[in-house]
Amino acid sequence: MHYTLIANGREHVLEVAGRGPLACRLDGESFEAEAVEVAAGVYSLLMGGKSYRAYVARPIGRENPPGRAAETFTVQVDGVSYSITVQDPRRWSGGRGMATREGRQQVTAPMPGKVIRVLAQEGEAVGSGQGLVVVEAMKMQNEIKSRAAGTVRKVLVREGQAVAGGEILMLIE
Amino acid sequence: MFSKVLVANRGEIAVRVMRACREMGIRTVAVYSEADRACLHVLKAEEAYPIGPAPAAESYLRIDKILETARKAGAEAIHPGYGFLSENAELARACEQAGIVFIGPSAEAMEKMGSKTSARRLAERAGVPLVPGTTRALASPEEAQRVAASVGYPVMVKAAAGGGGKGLRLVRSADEMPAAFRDARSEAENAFGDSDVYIEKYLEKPRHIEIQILGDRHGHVIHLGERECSIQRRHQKVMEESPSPLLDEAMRQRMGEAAVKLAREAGYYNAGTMEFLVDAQKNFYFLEMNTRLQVEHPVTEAVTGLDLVKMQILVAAGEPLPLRQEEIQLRGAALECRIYAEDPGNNFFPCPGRITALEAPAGPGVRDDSGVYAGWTVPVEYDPLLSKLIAWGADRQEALRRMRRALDEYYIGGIQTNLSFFRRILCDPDFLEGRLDTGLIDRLLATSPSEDSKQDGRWKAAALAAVLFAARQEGRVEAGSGGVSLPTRWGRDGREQLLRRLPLPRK
Repeated sequence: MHYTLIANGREHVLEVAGRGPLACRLDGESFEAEAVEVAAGVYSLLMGGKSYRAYVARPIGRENPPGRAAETFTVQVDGVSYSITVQDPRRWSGGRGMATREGRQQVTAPMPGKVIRVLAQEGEAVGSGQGLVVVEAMKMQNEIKSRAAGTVRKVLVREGQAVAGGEILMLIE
Repeated sequence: MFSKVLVANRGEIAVRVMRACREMGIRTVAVYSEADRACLHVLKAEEAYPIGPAPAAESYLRIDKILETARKAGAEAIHPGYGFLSENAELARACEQAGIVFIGPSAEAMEKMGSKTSARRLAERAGVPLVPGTTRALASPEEAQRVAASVGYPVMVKAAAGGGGKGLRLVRSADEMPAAFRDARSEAENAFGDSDVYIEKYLEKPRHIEIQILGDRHGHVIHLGERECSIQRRHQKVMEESPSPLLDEAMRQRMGEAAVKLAREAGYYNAGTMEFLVDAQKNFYFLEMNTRLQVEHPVTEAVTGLDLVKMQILVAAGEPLPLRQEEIQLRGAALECRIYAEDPGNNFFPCPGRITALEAPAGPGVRDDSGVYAGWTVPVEYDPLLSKLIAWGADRQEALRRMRRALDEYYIGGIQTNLSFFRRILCDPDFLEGRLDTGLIDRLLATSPSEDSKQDGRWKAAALAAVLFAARQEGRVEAGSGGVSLPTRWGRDGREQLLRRLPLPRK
């Protein structure tokens, strides 16, 4: 089976085949692995005599919509965390272009909270790293900053409004 | 000694206090809000009573409800933990009137030392050096500008009742003052119910070093050495250690003596901490006092071998301190990481949610003071502190390696935590060399994390595990073989194992 993975904005190809030990090839580099799922989402992997324990989970608050051809997981191996998006080999149609397009972004609330201040108005030009919205959660005021330069196309929240985690606050183009 | 103590707090600190009580043969009483019925401190206590709705102002901050619960349960003393009512003199006073012992300083000492402006006046009298600034609350932005001009920019605008980085603004020039003054006041009003702010000169690259003191009700005060708290983000401590890599025995003694002198001046008893700023020339300035137990108290416990909560209970019961200053010796080195439910990849935004899996580190020299368990949902209403992880070693080097090892063992599934961020700090050359200052984290965050995590076998293992997990979710078995060729059975067993573990978190 042939999988396309995205980690840190880069694409990788992992091929997995075989019975008994798995014959794997990651970005052209071959290796053998024996895998046991020792608990739900916990894998013991033996690779060339080296033992790894990998914990896999779906990150909460960043769920992928159902039916999408790609899903993102957080994987922790011996203390190192990776965010890996796995594209389903059976559904090639969608899923591509997971990386955010230049200059176009949806500004979302990273967690439930209350909008304290809206710092940019519709039509306003914003720079990369500029503060857009201040959301208060867990007694802390957090400024949500723009990831890229652009123009505010739409402001979807008012000051004082309660927002859910993942709710879109602003659209920037 | 008391036979029953009520812990007026929640989560990991409530659990920490209850552990000390249990070891002393004291029965424990928990209080909880509607959001916390399943919180670990309720499960660990011998008695537990509800005190109201989720907002702290209607539960954990309600002195009347806490006292009523203490009376009803027959508790002879109340331990406030830290945060919430721990530095509220009203609670100490109300306890006194109700004939219940407050495990902490007297209301008078708390008022004297708890207000930063009055503590500064006291320090002046005791001859303890101070950071230049005001010792009184400022009435207007114009007055703030006048004071700032006299001590010189940059300055800090600080809440008089402040703590935990709230109600705090750095002001670099006069035109930034009106906005900073207004924001600090409103944040102070929201967080502490007191909008008074004052000004202090801002020291560039300062180190934040504090002295733990302990006093009994017979006028005996000692210090337990220092804690280095320079690793901060947004003026919030993130990592602490003892001893400080900067201090030698002579400086430790000078700072310790200053702290003890100030505590005596205030008539202070029980546990407390004097915070100092230390500049590049190793001058130390008194900053403020925390009139309570601190989050970072375990590093002092690790190097002194004392249990500070037990000491607090002992002196609150009127016992004399069981040791003299000469008997205090620091052994080895200890570090503490504050494990928060927050996402370092997303500006450290709080990330409450359900903990799906939990593996806590163990082994020699490792202590995990946790308040969570697998299956529990971290509520949105409170501070997202999950656990304090402490590593002790014979020297700083061993403590560092142990902490790294413990962090590698730690797994918290389902929510984002700052565990990975600590691993980065523990690889930073400045940190490893002990060149610490309060700007270290900001400099570290300005660089992107190293990519070499892709170089070793861990990345291959991670990629393969992600694919196996995705394939199992799809109910596909052809991707695997060996253990993973039976994904449904393994999955079911694993889930059952997790379920069995639910009410009993691993410590």
